[in-house]
Amino acid sequence: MPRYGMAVDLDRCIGCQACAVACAVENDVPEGFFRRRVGEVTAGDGPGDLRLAFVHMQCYHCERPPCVPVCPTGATYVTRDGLCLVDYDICIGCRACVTACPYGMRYPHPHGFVDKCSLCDHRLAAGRLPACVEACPTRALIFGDLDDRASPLRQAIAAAARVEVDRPEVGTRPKFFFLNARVTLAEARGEVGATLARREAGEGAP
Amino acid sequence: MRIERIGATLNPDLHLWGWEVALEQFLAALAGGLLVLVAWAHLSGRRRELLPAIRAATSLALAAVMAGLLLLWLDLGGKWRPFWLYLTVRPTSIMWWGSWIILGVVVSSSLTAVPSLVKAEGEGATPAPRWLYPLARWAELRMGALAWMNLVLGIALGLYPGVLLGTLVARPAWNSAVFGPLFLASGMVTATAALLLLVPGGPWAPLLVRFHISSQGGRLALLGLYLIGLATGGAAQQTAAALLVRGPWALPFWVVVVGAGILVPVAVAVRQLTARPCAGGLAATAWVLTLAGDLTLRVVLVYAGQQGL
Repeated sequence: MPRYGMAVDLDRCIGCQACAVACAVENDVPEGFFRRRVGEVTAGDGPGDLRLAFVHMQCYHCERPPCVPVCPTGATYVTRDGLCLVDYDICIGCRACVTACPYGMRYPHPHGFVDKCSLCDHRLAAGRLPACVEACPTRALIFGDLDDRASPLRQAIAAAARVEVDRPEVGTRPKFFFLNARVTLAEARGEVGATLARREAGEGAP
Repeated sequence: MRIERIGATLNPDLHLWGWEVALEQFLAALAGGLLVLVAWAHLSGRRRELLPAIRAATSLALAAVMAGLLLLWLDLGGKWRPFWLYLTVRPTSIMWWGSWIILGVVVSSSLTAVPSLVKAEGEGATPAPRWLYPLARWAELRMGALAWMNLVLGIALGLYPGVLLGTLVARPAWNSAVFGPLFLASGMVTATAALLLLVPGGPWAPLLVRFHISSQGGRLALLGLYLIGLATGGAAQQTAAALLVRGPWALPFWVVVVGAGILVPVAVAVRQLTARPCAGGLAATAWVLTLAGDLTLRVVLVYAGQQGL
């Protein structure tokens, strides 16, 4: 069986959000919600010291997903090829999985169940790529089988100067990789946290 | 000059559990604590002596657990699918265990309450459906077994919301092993205060006051341990501690939870055991403050725990 995963090459990503739009259209995601989104952090002390980070946020289809054991009805499960999916028919919408996800990658769907990225499993079954990967104009998104050395995903990871996963300290072993990041995810999250704290303290921001 | 811009999609609103969950946890703790007290009264052989308090406790426990169940149902996204909780086996899910505990508590507290609510047939009988009388007789004969059931289920009901939050590694403010015992101690505090408010006089009052003081002591110690655990943890845990101790939740935490919910009631409770107890109105105010403090604790923990990642 394959072990599907994904990566984003941040040297190529231009933050156009085509992936987020393609995902929303393909999966009929309701307005105001996202299965996939690209956050943008710009920080620095002025001209000459500006840093830009794109934080790709979608379900990372972790090897050890904390959302699965907390589900009280078994609606969240892992397939044999490593996809973490939701059975909408038996999901009761308790949101235990949403609170358990360390990355905030699930959302409560207005129809009463919890939704998230499925890596377009319906397209994979038809031999096609996930919608976001197909829509990416710079080929920054890479999909493949982590167990196949010849897959574009394994080759991209092997060729990258820098490979990172989100919050490795929580031990979930995500199968989504950030390649060639110039601002690390920890730095990007740190900037977000510091800015939000300053805003809450009333210091404001442009 | 510092220039910053954050994409609007990066930090969406992550408040997923709201007031319904906080109130349900408060009611579950109240019901759990009351069932433990009822069980203790039965098992210590003081049932006859404490009967009015037991009746009030069983009725209130049943009402609290039913109201909590209604809140849980209101909070669910899939309102017509909760039956799946009982058609699957998910021992790794604390919520699955919780659904069975609540079902058990509904059965156990109903059977315990039935003999109190339905007096014997004949003269002076309570008007009730005919089928309730044999059920009341059946339950009356099994009060010992029901007391053990209430003790186990009451403790489980008090513990489970804390264990549910405590096992969520993604939320630093919740991920604490102290949460289960803290919630149970809090439930005992709430239950004693509610009973002292409902049935203030009688031979049970000094006993309840002693229970109250010891439960408050346990709760204060566990709250201290919880905060020490956060303060000595990693950066995420320290940020979570700061939310409670000096952040946006500091005022309700220190003033309502610790001050009004623990220190004032303990001072009044200690005075109640002396030769010159407080006036009834002041004592009742202290028990109301206890309930307000416990409800505030639940609200603070539920909301603060979801603040950021």
